[in-house]
Amino acid sequence: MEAVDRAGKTCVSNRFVVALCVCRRSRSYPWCDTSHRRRARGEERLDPADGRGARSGAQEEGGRDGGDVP
Amino acid sequence: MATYRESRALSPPLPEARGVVSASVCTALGEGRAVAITPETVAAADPFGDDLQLALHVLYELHYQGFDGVDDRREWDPELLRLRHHLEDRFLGAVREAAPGGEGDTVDEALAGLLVEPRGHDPTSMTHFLQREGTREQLREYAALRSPYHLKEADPHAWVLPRLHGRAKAGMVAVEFDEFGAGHPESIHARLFADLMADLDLDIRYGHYVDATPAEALASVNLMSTLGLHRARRGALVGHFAVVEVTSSPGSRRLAQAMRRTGAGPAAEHFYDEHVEADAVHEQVVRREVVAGLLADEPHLEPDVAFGVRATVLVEDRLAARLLNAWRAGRSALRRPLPP
Ligand SMILES: [Fe+2]
Ligand SMILES: [Fe+2]
Repeated sequence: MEAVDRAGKTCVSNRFVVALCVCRRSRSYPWCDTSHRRRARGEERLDPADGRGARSGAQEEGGRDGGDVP
Repeated sequence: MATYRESRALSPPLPEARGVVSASVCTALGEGRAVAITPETVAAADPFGDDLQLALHVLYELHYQGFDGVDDRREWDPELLRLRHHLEDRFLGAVREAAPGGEGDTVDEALAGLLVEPRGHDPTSMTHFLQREGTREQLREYAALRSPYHLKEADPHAWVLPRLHGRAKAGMVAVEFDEFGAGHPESIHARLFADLMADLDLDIRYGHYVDATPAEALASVNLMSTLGLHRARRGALVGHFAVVEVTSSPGSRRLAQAMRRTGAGPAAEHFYDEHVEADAVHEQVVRREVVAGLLADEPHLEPDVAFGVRATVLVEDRLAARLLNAWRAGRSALRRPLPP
């Protein structure tokens, strides 16, 4: 699986499934590192990128690999 | 770099007994005799204590790596299995009492608390502690007491595979394939952990730190083994696996930072860096395919899955409390300090 980040850099993962970061908080961008999770005390963090509240259950999807991995 | 010697090339010696129950198990195995213990003695043992947890650990190890000088056929010794059954009932009965489920015990509810990260510092979390102020010595202790699990990482969960089918099986096998190196022996997570131990100047031989490992850490592995070995507990095993994968990614991020801050070495950093990314994926697959797939096929297992979640949280919280108490008091968290 190859993913191109906004800077145009190509990142490669050989994992059977990859989880792509769509909240843009991941420190392992473009891969998910679970940074999307809601913070304690039921507060919602506004996502500065698109203004949506980030809540558990509205996290990025685990994307099935396209099938190029054995 | 020296060539890697497989941590599980040999079976370890039997550990030292920690009380009457574990002594009867170790003596029976060491001397090749039948186990002799009364039900009253088992009933009197502390279900979370050193004696019972070590006895369970030794009995489960017969299914993994065995012991030096112990006949491999003792794995299926009916008297040992009968004793193990009593010990498991004591242990799981106490877990159930300490972590009761509510009315309409759903998996979503049981997992909800785990899908939230604390804002800032969590003083009850051992990974937060290690990230901020853990010393190299404390990281070595942490690796030593986790080694009874990580040197056979993902093995206890493999027992569940023949008990699953369809989506749940496909998802579980896919995650386990990743845990077992995706076809590359040098990437097996247990091997990555042995490399971490070498960076921390620890002995990678399987079972080497069991005598130093506190009951709370043995209980964490015993829980996986008892859930994995019983088909009747397949729901709870899946719940257990969900907790491990859901909590691993952020915890691994903190431990990777602790390894970097203390200059532990590249393999020590890599073990946790790999788990940040891998377990972000594993979490999605376990929740969407394994848990959801199992419950679609066998909806009556929902309370069991929820129990597996609660049991795991309980056992891990007890371990965290033990470690933080010791480290905050400036003491070793092990039963005996590591040689420097
Ligand atoms: Fe792993
Ligand atoms: Fe994992």
